[in-house]
Amino acid sequence: MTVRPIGGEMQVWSDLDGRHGPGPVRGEVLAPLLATVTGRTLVVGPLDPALLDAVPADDLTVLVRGVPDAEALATHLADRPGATVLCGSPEKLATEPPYDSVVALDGTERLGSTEGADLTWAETVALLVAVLRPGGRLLLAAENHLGVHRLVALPPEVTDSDWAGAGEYDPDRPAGLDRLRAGLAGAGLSVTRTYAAWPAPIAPAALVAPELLADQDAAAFLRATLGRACAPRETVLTDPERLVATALRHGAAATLAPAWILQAERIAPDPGPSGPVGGRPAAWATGAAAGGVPSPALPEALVMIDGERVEVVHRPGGGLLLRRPDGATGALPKGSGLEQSLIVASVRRDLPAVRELLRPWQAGPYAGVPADQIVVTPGRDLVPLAPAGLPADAVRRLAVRLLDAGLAHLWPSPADPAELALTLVALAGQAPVPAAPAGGEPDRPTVPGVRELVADRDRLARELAEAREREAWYERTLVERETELRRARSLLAVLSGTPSARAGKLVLAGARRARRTAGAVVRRVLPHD
Amino acid sequence: MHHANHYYGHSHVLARYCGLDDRNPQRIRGYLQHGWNIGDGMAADHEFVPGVPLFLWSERTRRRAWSLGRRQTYAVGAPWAYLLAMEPEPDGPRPREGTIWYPFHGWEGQQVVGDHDRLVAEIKATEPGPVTVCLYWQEYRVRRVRERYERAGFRVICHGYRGGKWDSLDPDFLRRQLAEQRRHRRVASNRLCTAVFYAILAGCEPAVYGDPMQLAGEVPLWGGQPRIRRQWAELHGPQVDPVVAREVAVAELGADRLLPPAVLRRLFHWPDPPSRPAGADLPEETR
Repeated sequence: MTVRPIGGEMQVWSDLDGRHGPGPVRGEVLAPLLATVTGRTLVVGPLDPALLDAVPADDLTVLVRGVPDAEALATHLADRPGATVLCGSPEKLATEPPYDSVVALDGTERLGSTEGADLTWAETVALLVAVLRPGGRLLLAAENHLGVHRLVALPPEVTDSDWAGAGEYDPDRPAGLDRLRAGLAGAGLSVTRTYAAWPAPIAPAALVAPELLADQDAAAFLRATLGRACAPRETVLTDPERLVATALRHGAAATLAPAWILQAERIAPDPGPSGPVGGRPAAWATGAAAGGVPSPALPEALVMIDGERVEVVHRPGGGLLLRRPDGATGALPKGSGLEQSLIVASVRRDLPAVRELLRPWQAGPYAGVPADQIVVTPGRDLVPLAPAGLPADAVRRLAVRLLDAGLAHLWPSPADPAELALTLVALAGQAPVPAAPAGGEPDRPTVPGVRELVADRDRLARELAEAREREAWYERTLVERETELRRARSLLAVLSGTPSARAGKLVLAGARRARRTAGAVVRRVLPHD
Repeated sequence: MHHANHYYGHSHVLARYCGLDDRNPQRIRGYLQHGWNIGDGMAADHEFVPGVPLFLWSERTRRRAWSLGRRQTYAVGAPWAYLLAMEPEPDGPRPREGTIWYPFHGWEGQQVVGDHDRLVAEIKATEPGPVTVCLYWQEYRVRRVRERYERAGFRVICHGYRGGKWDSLDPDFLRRQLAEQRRHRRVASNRLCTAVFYAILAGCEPAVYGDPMQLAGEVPLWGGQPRIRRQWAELHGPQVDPVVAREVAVAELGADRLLPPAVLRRLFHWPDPPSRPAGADLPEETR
């Protein structure tokens, strides 16, 4: 297969190799979305080549802006005879025949070329819609500039990609999910499915429909799975996991999701008498009505659990199911998160409740499963959502997370991870055995955020100040005791020097001498064997 | 950290609960509440080292102490409650009789001002059975005070000396008190106080009545007697609902929050017992 340059291609640029930016969009959870793509299909922007394999369409076209990427993709798709690789700027797509499906899972930011026009978000979407036939489907991702990943991010580095993009300052770019939907409607699209994506637009590990985010039955499950997905891998301002949990509690998870992925259909123009006005149809009908391909059912959520992609689907008779890749299903665990319950009991200083939560966890088969990955059902059963490790590591992880959550003041000083872990083990009714993290594991399970570091510093400063106060008290007490000892010894010396003490000593010495003499006489008088 | 930790044999009881040498308990790394009060649980005249934890009896006291600026405050339950957990009342008929009556007393260096004769008359008019009057050690040593109650026909006792500054400690104080209280059907005092709560937990029906008297130069702390009468009104009067009284006593003595020995040892910075696995040293229900 050869690459077809369409104009505006970048000769020495690659989005796929990750040297000029974050690399291609990737993530196993995206595969089922790509599997729903049908008909003549266009994939635009850098997408992990492995994900292209999930696209079932025979007539597949891929557009990238860098020549090295185009060549790499041509090699990758060499055994797909219906595949075409285009290289260049998106504005050159206008001459291509229309597509049944357009996939833009990297959004619109990394389509434009240095050689082409600086396109706004709306202009780029308009270009993509223009190559979509009526009734055709667009799969579009959009980064949320108010997403959790940005709220916790340190100042970003400027990369080679940032030659002129307006990014979050693009006035055309819809800010917020509702405006994004409205923007797509304005572009002639009808949104058929929405997912919020975590932990980052570039590599989502969890896709959840907003309806599921609002479902209280799924709250504990989502808190655990989204929390795990958002575990920071680089230094952040604060641990995003807590922010995600708070957003879920406040019904703001979709609003603060790092990205949204929308499936939309191009609405077919109404062949009414008024006709198009200003180049755009005056009225629109749905793609399905215009003969579009029926959309395969998509799950409510796609999440990675224990290395497996698990889908959350509605049970036919009501309720929610977890469906594993092998087709096995099980009920989605309902209840409350173990860690969350422990925190609630701790901040209420309800130690009996803390112990009631810790004991079955540490005495049962899931002692090695992190508390943040366990759902406690209303029947008090524990449902693990992660594989078990060593119980000591799970308790230590809990200790670190409690401290990171700013709850050090609830626990005896010094409240460092090792000491708190021992206290938790004792509260769980187990024998506290001081142990270093196994196998050179880091002291904390996640990368600390700046907030957590500040909390650590404050705690250590407080403990140091307290240690100094204690030392001063010990010093005062030592002086006091030494004074008492000196006084007692002086008294003893005085008493031992009095006439009565001397007489007592003489009497004792005489008694000892008399006993020795009597013993000698007895030995001499008594017959020997 | 403070000699008051050893008053009344408190540290001895807790050492025993923790499986440690209860004849010679180690220093508790913190301040242990040694009497019920309506402030932060601590004696007003004690000096505190910042950052040294307070081990308080009840959650209510802990919250109050926190609101008063105390940090590192832990509700651990009263030593009395631990003693009762270790020595539950034997099954079978309980030959309880009469009332153990605790007249309000001053502490070292304090004098009580009040009409003892009127109090005696009120006790005689109220109590249905024999009365044992328990005096504080200071008052017990004063023959005049002792005889005043003896003349009234009361049995007069003293639980003992609470202990001095790391000397004259009395490891058996609480056990004697418990044995005495378990002989009586009722407990009464003219002020709601530690001994009344203890006796309620030990199974006595409580009553609080009579002239509450005053300490010479008494400055009411934290609202004083009027506040106590308002807040615990249900425990005042010659007849008190014993079920309600027990609920209050359990809460005030933290009997619902006793910690397992292993946790207590960690809080106090006490070592593990040499030959017993941590967490396996007491029956399930007391942990």
